Amino acid sequence: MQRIEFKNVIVQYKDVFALRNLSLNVDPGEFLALLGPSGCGKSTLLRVLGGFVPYEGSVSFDGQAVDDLPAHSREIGFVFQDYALFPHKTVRENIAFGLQMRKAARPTIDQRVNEMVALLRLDGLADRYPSQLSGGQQQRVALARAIAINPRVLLLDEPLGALDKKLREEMQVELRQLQQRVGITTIFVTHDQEEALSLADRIAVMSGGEIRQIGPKAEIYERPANRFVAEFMGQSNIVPASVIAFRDGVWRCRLASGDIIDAAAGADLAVGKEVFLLVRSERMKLLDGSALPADGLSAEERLPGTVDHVTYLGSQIQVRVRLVTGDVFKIFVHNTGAASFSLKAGDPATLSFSADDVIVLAA
Amino acid sequence: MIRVQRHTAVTLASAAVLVFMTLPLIVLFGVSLNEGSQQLFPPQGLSLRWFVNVFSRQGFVDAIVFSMELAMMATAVSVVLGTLAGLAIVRYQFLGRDLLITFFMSPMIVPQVVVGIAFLLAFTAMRIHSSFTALLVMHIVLALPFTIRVVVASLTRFRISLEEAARSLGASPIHAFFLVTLPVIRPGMVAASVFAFVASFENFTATQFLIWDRTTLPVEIFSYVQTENDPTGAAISAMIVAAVAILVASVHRYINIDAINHRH
Repeated sequence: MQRIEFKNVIVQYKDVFALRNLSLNVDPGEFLALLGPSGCGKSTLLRVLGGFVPYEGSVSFDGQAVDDLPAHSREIGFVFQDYALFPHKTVRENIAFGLQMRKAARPTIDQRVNEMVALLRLDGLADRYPSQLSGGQQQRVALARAIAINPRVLLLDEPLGALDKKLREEMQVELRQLQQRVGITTIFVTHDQEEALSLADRIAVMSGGEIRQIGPKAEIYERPANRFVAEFMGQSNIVPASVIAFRDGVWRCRLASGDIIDAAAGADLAVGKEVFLLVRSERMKLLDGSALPADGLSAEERLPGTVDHVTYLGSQIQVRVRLVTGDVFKIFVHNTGAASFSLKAGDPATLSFSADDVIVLAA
Repeated sequence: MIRVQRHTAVTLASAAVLVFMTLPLIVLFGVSLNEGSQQLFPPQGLSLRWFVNVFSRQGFVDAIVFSMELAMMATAVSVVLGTLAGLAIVRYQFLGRDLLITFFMSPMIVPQVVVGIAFLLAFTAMRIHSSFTALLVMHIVLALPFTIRVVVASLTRFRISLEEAARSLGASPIHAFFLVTLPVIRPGMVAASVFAFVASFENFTATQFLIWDRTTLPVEIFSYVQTENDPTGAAISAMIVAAVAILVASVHRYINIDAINHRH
């Protein structure tokens, strides 16, 4: 297990920066997800580590710079998006390739290949060619081949992107269990926030060749540092506001509509500052406009609006509520039976939420 | 289901092309089977004597051997050079890349007469005009457009991640190329070899300018039919058609574009 350190890494293609002065530490045994839209630099970061692109700055393993090492001397397990299995070699030969390059003895190779076949449940497939395997099986061969060499770090470039939804969910569990069993430092690239949340210990959200926020996954979701991260981490209900007071540890904010909202958290705030308020869909309740039940929440923890659209999604019903400001908030209601939900487009409705669940973002 | 509407005119045009392509071949085979020495179609009587006659003439036998030697060497060299050129074209961006591609393809476009005269003048100035080397160099140049084209096509389809995977597993660039890239593009290289071989073997126009005491088969056939009036020319031509057909059929799965990269 190795500690990986990127220091001031710059990658430039002609006059476009793929990575801008990026620094990052990855702890031994950690499972880190690099999350971001396409073109954000996440794959480039993996390729820097793999030794496939020229870069400025420094990459080190356990404090030792590897910048002068070519790709084949870096001892890295790389799983490519298209798996990159050698089509002219069998599963066994694919897995053995890295060991042969290390000039390992025949019995050693056979033993290690058999270990990998067992670890990744490839029994009975060892003598097949990649084109005779399903997508999920190819994925496991690619993992087996990368792990077989006991790499210092495992790099996964959108490894589940080519699989269908059901298989992807199964492989997520499998990948997570495998990583914990092998205990290898793993960096995983994805554009899917759910995948990042289900697999990783920590998430680094990237855009424009920079890390916009890095931290434990719950922190990234619960306390996004900026609007980009907030929006990338799931459907977010965001409304502009200005801070008007600070009282009893609560920031009081006013919307353009005049509605007042309280927010418990928020760093770097001051009265008069323009901000964005964010409330996660699952932290809100939807109340029928005519009823005002006693739920223990203050008037500053409610927002009035009008039902804009109702979408039936099976286990849930998605309701879009238009605020007086014109901003639209989405909320999901559990489908507990036909009688439980009667709102329709045009009905007045009220959103309620605790001040603790309001996230304040810098404008 | 979408129904493909075949227009009558298209059907007729396709039929016409097929007829005009196959008719000369049918006549050729027919004439080669004549019993008498006249080149008649349909043949009068059936006999293989003109096929036997090909091998009883030392000129044809020598020319067959010579053409085979020339074509095999031209193929070997042009496939190696074509692969190297293909790698440069596909893997690197450099100044004048498009110009270079056009230049490599030019022997396919420049009239063969011009190619022949140009090489004759150049080799004469270098005082190597009457030599196997001179002829070989020209045939390599004539075969290169075919090999480069096919190799570029396979290399373009080749996924660079395969080479990167080999690198990450500890293979040096040279190892990665020989252990992964080459085996994967091998079908393309087989196809390239067939094209190169045929391009060299069948070349007549440009070759004529560099012929000295030894001659290639097409040139030998041409000089034979100028003086002789029997079906021997038809017989040797029929054999060439049959040989090319067998060659192409045997590597068909390699040449078939869809089969490349999906061999298993």
